[in-house]
Amino acid sequence: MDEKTIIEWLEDAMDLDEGTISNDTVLEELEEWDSLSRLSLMAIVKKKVNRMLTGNDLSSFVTVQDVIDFLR
Amino acid sequence: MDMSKNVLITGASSGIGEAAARYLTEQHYNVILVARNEERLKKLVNELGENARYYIYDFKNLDRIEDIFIYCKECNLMLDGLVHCAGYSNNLPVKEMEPDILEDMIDVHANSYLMLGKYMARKEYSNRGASIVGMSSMSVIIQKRGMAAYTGAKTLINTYTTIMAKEFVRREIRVNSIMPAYVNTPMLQEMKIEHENAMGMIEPEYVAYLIEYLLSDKAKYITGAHIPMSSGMLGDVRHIKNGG
Repeated sequence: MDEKTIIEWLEDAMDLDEGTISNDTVLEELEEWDSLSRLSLMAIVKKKVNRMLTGNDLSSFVTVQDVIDFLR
Repeated sequence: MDMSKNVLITGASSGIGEAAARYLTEQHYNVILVARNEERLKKLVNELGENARYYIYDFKNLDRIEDIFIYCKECNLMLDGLVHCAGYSNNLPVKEMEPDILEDMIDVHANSYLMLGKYMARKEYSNRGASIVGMSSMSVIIQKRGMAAYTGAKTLINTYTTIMAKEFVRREIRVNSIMPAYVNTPMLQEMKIEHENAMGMIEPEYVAYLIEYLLSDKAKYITGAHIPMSSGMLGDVRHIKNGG
């Protein structure tokens, strides 16, 4: 899974415009990184790569890069 | 540059959907009409002119709803509005209810509304600030015998409206529903029942006026609302118009 795709998933989950976030964006600093976005990301990851993200996985993500590392 | 709004209307071949199609084109909106009956849609589109086009779809099937949005995209129409009027009545006492009747009713009215909302919420298909209008019913408030499936489906439309309004607020997409009392449509004529609107049967264009208002920027602060259009159908009020 290339990092561009994962960034797209995150933007999609948070309804952000393309190019709004980058690898070093801190998720907690985004107003859009709320419980609904987390549910959305879980559903996207399940659908695209058939992996289950747990609540613990989600809480462990600090930056966008953490999500990329986890999924790659 | 064409600044008219692009609006998808379901159930557009008759009743409230048709009235909305007529009024919205009159008000210079571009409309994409969706229904099952190609003959009627074709005729209506010819009548409405170049700002109208159509797509055939039966909402008993929830699996190919995205095709409607793909069609709009192929026509270079980013959507500013969705008006979901697809529906029908099938009055039946509960003791005569069948699973397929119940399932179709809920799918056509409500589940299709949610699936339409799913694609409407996506930035590849809609503009920020778009408006969604669902057709609910006064029967949700004044609940009647023989109308369990219909009323259940219309109640679900209000529920989905509330939740979509909350979820879509990030893209400033507004979601509202209208709850009309008895409207003078082929659906009601088929039912052969007497209306109970104290202020008379609602003509479909009056629902269309409210639809247009909710689609317009005049309604920019209104979201998550279920708006009754009672025509005086308020429970114990009787026909004042006919001799009160």
